[in-house]
Amino acid sequence: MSSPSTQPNRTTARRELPLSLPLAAGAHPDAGTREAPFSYECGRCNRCCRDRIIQVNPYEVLRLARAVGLATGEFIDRFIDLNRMALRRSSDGTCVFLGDSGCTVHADRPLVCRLYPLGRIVRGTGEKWVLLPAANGSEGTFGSERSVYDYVDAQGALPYMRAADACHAVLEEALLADGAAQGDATGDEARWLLDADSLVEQQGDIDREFSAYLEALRATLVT
Amino acid sequence: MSEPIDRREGVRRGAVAALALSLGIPATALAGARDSASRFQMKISANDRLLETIELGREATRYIDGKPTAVRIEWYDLAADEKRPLSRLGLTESRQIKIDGLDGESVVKPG
Repeated sequence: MSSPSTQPNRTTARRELPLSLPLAAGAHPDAGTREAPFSYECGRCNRCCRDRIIQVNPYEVLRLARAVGLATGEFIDRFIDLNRMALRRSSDGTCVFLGDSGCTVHADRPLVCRLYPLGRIVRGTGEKWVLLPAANGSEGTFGSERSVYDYVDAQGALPYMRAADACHAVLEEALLADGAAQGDATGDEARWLLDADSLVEQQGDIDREFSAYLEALRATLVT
Repeated sequence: MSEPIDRREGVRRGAVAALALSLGIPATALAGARDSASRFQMKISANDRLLETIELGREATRYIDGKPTAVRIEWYDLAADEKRPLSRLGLTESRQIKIDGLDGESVVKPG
């Protein structure tokens, strides 16, 4: 049996969370800015890829569809649970895109997967960052060598954050128009929303297509 | 004659709700926000820790990016003499968060 002093102590690692970020709590509502000290090293245990509901917005569906070489409509049919607006899961509870060697769509993974173990709370006036409860048995290690911004930038999360913010802006405009959002969406409505290729022509450039999609969405939802 | 318009409006409303859900905002929160203006307050907590208190209104449309986790959402009636969770006040289901069959709980793009 190895000596405890020579083995990584994951319990200790968890206790050494950077204190400037609230642990999924509101104790310091102004804490957790992009400048807050934070670093995280993934342990590649894939624990965060199971038993999660990964909700996806239209931009994430567009990115993932292109990653697997499908039009958004076919991608939705194969990989999206429209009741939850989330990626389907395998029978063992793992993400449908988790393969033997990890995420099979890693370059185009959704924002939540990029941010983990951080959470970003968005308001009309700004954002704050929190640490999420770690997945059971997670082998990731925390530190404070860099900043929240460094982490999310290194994860390629910034374009996804801008896309989510853009979707949120359309939502707010639609709500301000008449506040209509009562009830749940049907599968048809959810599918219509996510199927960017049915609203705008494929343009060979995701950012350009998403911009056109947002305009089409705004024209329909904001009356 | 008005059927096409009604049908289009129905799709539009559903699409707004779908967009909200894709951003982690339950449709019930949006409905509550519209109906109750600033009277109601929503508290979101995870693992029994308070994550955020939201005064409903436009503020309720905020969303939270991150790995989804089960969170508890409680609604409080600020106009009541005693601030109690609405779920204990016998309000209709439309005012309660009810997703995935968990009364009073929801799954949001967390926090």
